[in-house]
Amino acid sequence: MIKVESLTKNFETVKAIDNLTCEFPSGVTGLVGQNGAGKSTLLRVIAGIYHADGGTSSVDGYFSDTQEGRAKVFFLPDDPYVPSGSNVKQAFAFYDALFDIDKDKFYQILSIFGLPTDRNVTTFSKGMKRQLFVALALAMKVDNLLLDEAFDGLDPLVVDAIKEEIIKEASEGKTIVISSHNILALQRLADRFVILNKGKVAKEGENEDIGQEFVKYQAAFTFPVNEENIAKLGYRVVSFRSIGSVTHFVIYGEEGAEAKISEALKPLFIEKVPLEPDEVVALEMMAARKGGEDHA
Amino acid sequence: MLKKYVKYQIKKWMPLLAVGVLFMGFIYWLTMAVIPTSVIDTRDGTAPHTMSSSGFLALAIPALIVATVLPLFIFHYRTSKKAVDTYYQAAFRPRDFKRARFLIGMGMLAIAVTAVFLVGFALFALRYATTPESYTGPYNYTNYRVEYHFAYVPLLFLLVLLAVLAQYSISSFLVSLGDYIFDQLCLLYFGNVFLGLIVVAPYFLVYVHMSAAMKTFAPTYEPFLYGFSPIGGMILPIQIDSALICNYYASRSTASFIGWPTAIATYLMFVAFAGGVLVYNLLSKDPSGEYASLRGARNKPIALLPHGVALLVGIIVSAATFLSVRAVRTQEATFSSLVFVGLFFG
Repeated sequence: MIKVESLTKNFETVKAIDNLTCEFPSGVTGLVGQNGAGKSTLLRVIAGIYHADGGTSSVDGYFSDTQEGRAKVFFLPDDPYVPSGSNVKQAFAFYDALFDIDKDKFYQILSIFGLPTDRNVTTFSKGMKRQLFVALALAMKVDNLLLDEAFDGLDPLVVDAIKEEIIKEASEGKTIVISSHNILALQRLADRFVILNKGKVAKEGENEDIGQEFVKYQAAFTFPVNEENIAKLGYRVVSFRSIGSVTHFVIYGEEGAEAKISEALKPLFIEKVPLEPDEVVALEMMAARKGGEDHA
Repeated sequence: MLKKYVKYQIKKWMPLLAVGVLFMGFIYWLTMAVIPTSVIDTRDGTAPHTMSSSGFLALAIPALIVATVLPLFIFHYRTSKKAVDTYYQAAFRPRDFKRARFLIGMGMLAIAVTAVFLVGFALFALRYATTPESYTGPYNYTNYRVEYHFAYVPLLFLLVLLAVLAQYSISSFLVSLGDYIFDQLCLLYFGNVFLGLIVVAPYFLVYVHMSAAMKTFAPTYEPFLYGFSPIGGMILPIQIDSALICNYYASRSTASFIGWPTAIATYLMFVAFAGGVLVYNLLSKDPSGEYASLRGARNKPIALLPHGVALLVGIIVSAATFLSVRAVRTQEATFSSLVFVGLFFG
């Protein structure tokens, strides 16, 4: 269990984490947000690499910036370090000198991925490197794993292989936090999501709860309709876009708005359409910017 | 966990240790090898006398170079965000990690210097055993027999080793201030120059020297400008080598003898300063890894280093150009010599 309370982290004048409070229970949590949202900074604070300027972060009851806290968690950055010229065995020896790793498990996962152990790691493709480090991370004798951009730039086969191993680990009761700017990568993997926006939590909840507060409509009007026309009817418009004669708009948490809009604006047609997963993240962030958290 | 890492590091650094031993050994053993052929020096034509150096000092030069440069490797990890991400999340405090790296480097350096010395000393002892006449001068200048006193060699070695470790400690401090490769290089170079020129040392030495001058040989030059540089740390070993091991001053003139109080004070100042730095290196907190590969984020003034270096280079180039042009105009220098000077400054 990872707990973050009123956490603040500044880099000179930039507020990377802004009074953030959230929890990461056991299972897989997707940490989602656009570039610069504060995902990697948050993970580094939890791992004890960065010191918080305010608030606290704890892992299994130990503060992150203590030896005990660090011993409880492993953070895999998006571009992990390995001593130059190392092959897989040497890379393992390096990490083994710093962390408590289950050697048998590491080689077992490696064999599932089918990686050669005698080749220089620098000659590995991005996907192979990622598999190697995920194998290292999953073999760590810790109950909390933080994986930064774990699937960034990987082909679907590699992603599936890694996901499978992560699910196995999570089923053993580990807490696994995977950050990504792409929620699609975490579909069918994360049990819950934390969406960050500008260092704050824009939304957090179970997988099925994310995006439930938004309703997306597709409509065609007989006269020019803008965001204000919808807002005047008492709805909070999160997104509004017209392409040709078709207008797409998303409103906040009002079921049954279809009838009211039809009556007031007399569209040629109006229908509810499903939201794409990546749209949900964007909407959560937009809603957060517009003060949507007040309604949540 | 840190013990496991230290073991790993020692194993990993063995090749570098071997390179260090070979580098230092090459210069040292080369110097030692030429000694027997020139024990008796009659170059000035006045009288034969012992050599001014036993050759055991030759180890100090490569050892001090290694001691100065080694911290760049020891603290290189601080310039890499990737490396820091890995090291600073391990289950030990960053300060313990920094201290472990520092002590590993120091241990390796001490082992390398000692190994080179022991091999060199063994070779020397072998030569001495087979040709003892090469090392004992039957000649005298001041009417008493002069010869090498090898009993002082261990003392000389210990003083050199201490000076080498002191230099390592000072350089480690300078390098550890930087979180960027360029900064570390600049801090190492300019820091050592600054410490060599620091003014506290001259004033203290003037005082020590003046109070002791009446009881010692008259000095012809002062080590005032050595400050906290390794040269300051070499004054005493040089003195021991010349005066005690080689009996150089007994067999010849005392023209360059700087006096024991001055030599001891210079050495002690350097070592004491390095001792203070050593304590700082061992006990100081290490900031978290958030500054890795960032210029001046931890130490704000360091952000000005590139400007300072550019200014300094500008001043040197301007001064060199001005002096060169003036020298050519007044025919004090040939064009080729100026090219050489220019290249040197460059």
